[in-house]
Amino acid sequence: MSAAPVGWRERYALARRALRQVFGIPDFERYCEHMRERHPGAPRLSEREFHALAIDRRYGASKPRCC
Amino acid sequence: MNKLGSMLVWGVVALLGAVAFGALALGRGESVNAVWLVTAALCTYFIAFRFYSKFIAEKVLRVDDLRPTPAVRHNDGLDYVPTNKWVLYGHHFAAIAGAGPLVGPVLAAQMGYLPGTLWILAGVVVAGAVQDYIVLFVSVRRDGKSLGQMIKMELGPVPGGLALVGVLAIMIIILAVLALVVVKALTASPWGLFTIAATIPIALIMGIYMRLIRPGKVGEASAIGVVLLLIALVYGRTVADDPTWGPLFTLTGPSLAWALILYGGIAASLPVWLMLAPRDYLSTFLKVGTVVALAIGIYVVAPKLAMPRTTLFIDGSGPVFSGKLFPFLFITIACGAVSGFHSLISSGTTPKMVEKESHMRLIGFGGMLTESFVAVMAMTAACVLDPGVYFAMNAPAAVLGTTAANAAQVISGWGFTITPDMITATATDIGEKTILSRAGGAPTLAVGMAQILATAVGGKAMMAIWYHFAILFEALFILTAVDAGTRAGRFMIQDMLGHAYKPLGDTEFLPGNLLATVLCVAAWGYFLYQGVVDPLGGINTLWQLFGVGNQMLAGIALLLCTSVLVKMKRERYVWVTLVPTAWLLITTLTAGVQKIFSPDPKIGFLALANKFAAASADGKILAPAKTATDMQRVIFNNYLDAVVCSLFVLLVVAMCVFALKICLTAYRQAQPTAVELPPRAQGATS
Repeated sequence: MSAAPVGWRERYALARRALRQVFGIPDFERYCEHMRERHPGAPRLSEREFHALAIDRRYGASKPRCC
Repeated sequence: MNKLGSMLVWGVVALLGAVAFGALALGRGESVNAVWLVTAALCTYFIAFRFYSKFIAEKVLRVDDLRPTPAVRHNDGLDYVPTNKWVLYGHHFAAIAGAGPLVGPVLAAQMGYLPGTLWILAGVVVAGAVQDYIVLFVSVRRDGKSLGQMIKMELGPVPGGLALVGVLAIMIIILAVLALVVVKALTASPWGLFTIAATIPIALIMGIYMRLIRPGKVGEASAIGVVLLLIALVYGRTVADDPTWGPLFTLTGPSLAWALILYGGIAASLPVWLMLAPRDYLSTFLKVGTVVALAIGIYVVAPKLAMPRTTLFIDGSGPVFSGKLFPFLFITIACGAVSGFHSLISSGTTPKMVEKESHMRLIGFGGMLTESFVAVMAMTAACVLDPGVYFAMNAPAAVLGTTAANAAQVISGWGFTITPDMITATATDIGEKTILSRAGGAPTLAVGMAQILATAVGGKAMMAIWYHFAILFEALFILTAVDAGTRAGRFMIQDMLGHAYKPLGDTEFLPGNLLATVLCVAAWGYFLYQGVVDPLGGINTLWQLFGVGNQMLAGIALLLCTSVLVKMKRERYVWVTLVPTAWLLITTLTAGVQKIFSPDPKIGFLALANKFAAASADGKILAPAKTATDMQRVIFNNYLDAVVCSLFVLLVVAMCVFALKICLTAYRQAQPTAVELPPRAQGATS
């Protein structure tokens, strides 16, 4: 959420990203960005692997749901 | 905004709120418009957020945006992600809002709309939002640790262990009571049951789609899911009217209870991506969508509140739950005013996503205010119903009998005029055979919502669809909670079993997994079954047990917050957490002790057990029991309920003692002793 949106395309991308975060949907684009910025050259998960891992992590651990 | 403008705006908000409260509390004779109720709530929230949460942030907690949060320190693009504050507020709200704020206010509406509403508003500002916010703050300052870990760190290992036992016990009661709400809503309702049953294959299709066919396309999968769900919803009426399929989906309470127990066991053993994750997405979309639709609906339709301000039942003689306004109103409405369970969410995923400390005010405090708003809307939906219809739906069969004629007579006797025709007409409108004795909140709320939404869209013809949509929306996230809760309970049981016999604690060890799952399902299943066969409705007992447990957990979380404030040497402001702690302890201990020891068999577990034991010794059989075995079961169950209730009471008293000791020690120290991360901790790990 750093740079201010310029065109509608960016706005749409930002809105999609925000909605993903609200509903807790794993964000592969954000992961790729993160890996590019922080760990350039490091091995990366494929989209399929990333989603599998993210869903299992989100729901796998003993997380109670609210009443 | 300049200072004068700000004063003007907040002056107007305060004035509007005062006028709204005036309309609610003082209007004589004529019924009050629901818009006043909702407006009074919104003004309270805005003012509390603007002034009280700011005070807590700046003076009490002294949040510091220069301190790196866990999300910044461990940013891994996956679990720890610095998140925009509005986005995280939405995420946090979606995580805390469940069935709780929808059920409690509906039950409390038997005392009229005013007592419940005042408690929801006062409770959330003074206790609920403060708890959620400070627990979130404490967790962020401790690298996103969970409530159990923090109690262990700040209060010691024994309180930490006790808290875990308490959380497990509360979770089992929550699962039982939520499942009971679903059973009450779906008993003898083929349309409803078909729609809910359809969510299982729909979730499986979505799960396979987003895992194997188009990995990660949650949006596409959810769109498919929503369309299939709407088809199932509309088609449900055809199924219900079908001579072959209709009876197949018409189940009794006990068979539904067994179906749910079986479902819970199987669902919790499947891989998470297959059913839990897709259904959770579906239910979150529906949840947020429905809450927004209801808020708009109330303002567009502007219905009148049909329920009186207060009813005669504040004296404790109410048919929905027994017990006087004090203390029982305060444990009946837990979520929406203050909910201990939130302390687990506020110390779960949310603290790992906070970008700056100053954001927590909106996320923690604001998120809880929003949940409270859901509770106010549930109260509104229950109170726009004709009171006669409300009591027909919520009083148990033991009071109303099983025919509309009988029920109408009993309810009219309380002073709420209703004819048998009105009862049957309401059932026909919503596409059901009967509305009698459907306690548990969901059906009442669904009728209220259907009334509001059908006035806005579709008229009377759409009422049955709206009703079943509302049931679907509630049942969907309750089933998700049952699934996720059974898993969480299994992990906790495995953790405890591991202390007794090491291999059982290994989550990869299949027999250990199965044993823990069976134990967890058996535990909540037992309470569920007991609630279903209880002729007094079950909700009467279980919801109050849940309320006591949930408020006790809130008390424990607030004791932790109080200890942390003292350890931070902010004793001056300790009243911020001490006042709600004291209030929770007073109400829940009074309620807990009354539930155990009250000589009135309608309230006290022991009194009821003794009454049945005495009759049993004389060889008599008391209604609702039909056989001597029934008698023994009533006796045993009431002793069991008394034991669970005592466990909660003892637990919270013990926590009080531990917290007091820690506070006194910390108070004598000249330096802060809180175990926080140092303010400028660097060292990103990824």
